[in-house]
Amino acid sequence: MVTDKIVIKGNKEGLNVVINMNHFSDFDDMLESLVNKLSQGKKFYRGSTLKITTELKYINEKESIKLKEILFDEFLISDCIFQDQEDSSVKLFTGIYEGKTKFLRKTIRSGQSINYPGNIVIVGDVNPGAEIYAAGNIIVLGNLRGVVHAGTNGNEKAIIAAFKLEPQILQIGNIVTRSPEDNHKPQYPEVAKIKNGNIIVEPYLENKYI
Amino acid sequence: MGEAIVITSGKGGVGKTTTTANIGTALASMEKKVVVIDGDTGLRNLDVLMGLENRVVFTLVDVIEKRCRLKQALIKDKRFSNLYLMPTAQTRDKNDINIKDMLLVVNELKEEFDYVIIDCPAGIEQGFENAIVGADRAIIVVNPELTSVRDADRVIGKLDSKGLDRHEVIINRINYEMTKSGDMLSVDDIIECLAIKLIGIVPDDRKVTISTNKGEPIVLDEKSLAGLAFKNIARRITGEEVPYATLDGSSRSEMGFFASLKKMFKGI
Repeated sequence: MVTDKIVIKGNKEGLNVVINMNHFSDFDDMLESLVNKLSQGKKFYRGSTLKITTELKYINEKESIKLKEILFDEFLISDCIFQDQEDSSVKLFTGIYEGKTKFLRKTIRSGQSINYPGNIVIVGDVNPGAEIYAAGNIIVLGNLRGVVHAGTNGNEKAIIAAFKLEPQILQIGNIVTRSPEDNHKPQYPEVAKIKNGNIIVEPYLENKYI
Repeated sequence: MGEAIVITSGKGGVGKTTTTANIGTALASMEKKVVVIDGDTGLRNLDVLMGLENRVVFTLVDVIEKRCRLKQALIKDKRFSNLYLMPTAQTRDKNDINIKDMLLVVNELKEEFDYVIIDCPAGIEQGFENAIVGADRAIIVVNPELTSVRDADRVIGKLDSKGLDRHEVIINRINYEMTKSGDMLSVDDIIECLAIKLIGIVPDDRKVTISTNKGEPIVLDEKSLAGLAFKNIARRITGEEVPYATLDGSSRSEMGFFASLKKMFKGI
């Protein structure tokens, strides 16, 4: 798997760099390994045309400019073309009952963003301004006050649970809700899930707190 | 080898510079060798607060650009001979300093002084990066306002990601009456939200404004509550355990409930 992060292929049109963004935590991480990889044959790439095939939705404009700058300045390539890779490999994450899970034993603070293609358990708080994205469930043993999105690739059976569920924005699959504007504070742990096409929030064990 | 402490907050106007000047002065009065560095290039204030504005000749930028030696830029305080100020340039901006140079300066000062206190500018851009690069620990100043707590949270996250994980918080400008009536965030609310160790609570005090305008740090005023609070913080920085004097006169327990439980279990 490790070797599949970045693949460089040559064909009659030129050189094609295939980047699998799913294997990188962010753009900078990808850039670093791309530069490492290209540095091995620096002279070889001089004056060549590189076609970069990747899922372009993960790269914003600023980042693509940065990428081009590095390729032009450091590797002296003559041209660079971006090509979008159709996201055919993404399938529904099905491990919401049993599957890979990330455990975070810290408070997630404003400005921090966690993205994981599985379940996420946070032993700590999620503060306002923080963002959590998981393909599966999100469980927070603490206050949940940030932005949360469970089931990012479409699993509508995913749940979001927290000791105090007060998110700014809560999303499961494709359904988004905003927190209500009454200053009602949750008194007990709650679970958010989709029922009949709507997100509902209920005590984590029905009937326990009523 | 001394210790470098950065005073930061994210939000502006919460009292970083005041805190820097006062902790520096308080530590100096405890016979420590202290240097305070102004990190706010382009909007320098620390020299004014310490009453040393007229003595600035060379600055941090001159040191970095090798127009003078490090020692030449240091300004000795009027009151304490073991307290120095490293001013910064007013006519330049924060991008004129890079983290490599700043790290060199801080490390050189650490060899000479017991405490190097860095006043961080507001924001999380280049100035912030420069201020935190050489620091061994961070003190975050917050006001009992939601905006300040939000920004502090962001800054703590930034510090964590830079590997600076020794941090404590000062709650500045608390008004006991307003906290009691529920109009202001209380100390417990803030600590709960930020999940961070408390190192001091400074009450709101009109005398701070007066002392700023005079260029005399408030810790020199024996009667001021805010001055006393800064002195206590300085003592806590040196590792001393000082009980929290609450603003209504009774004393707040030094440790939280869980901390005292932990201590009990450790003792067994």
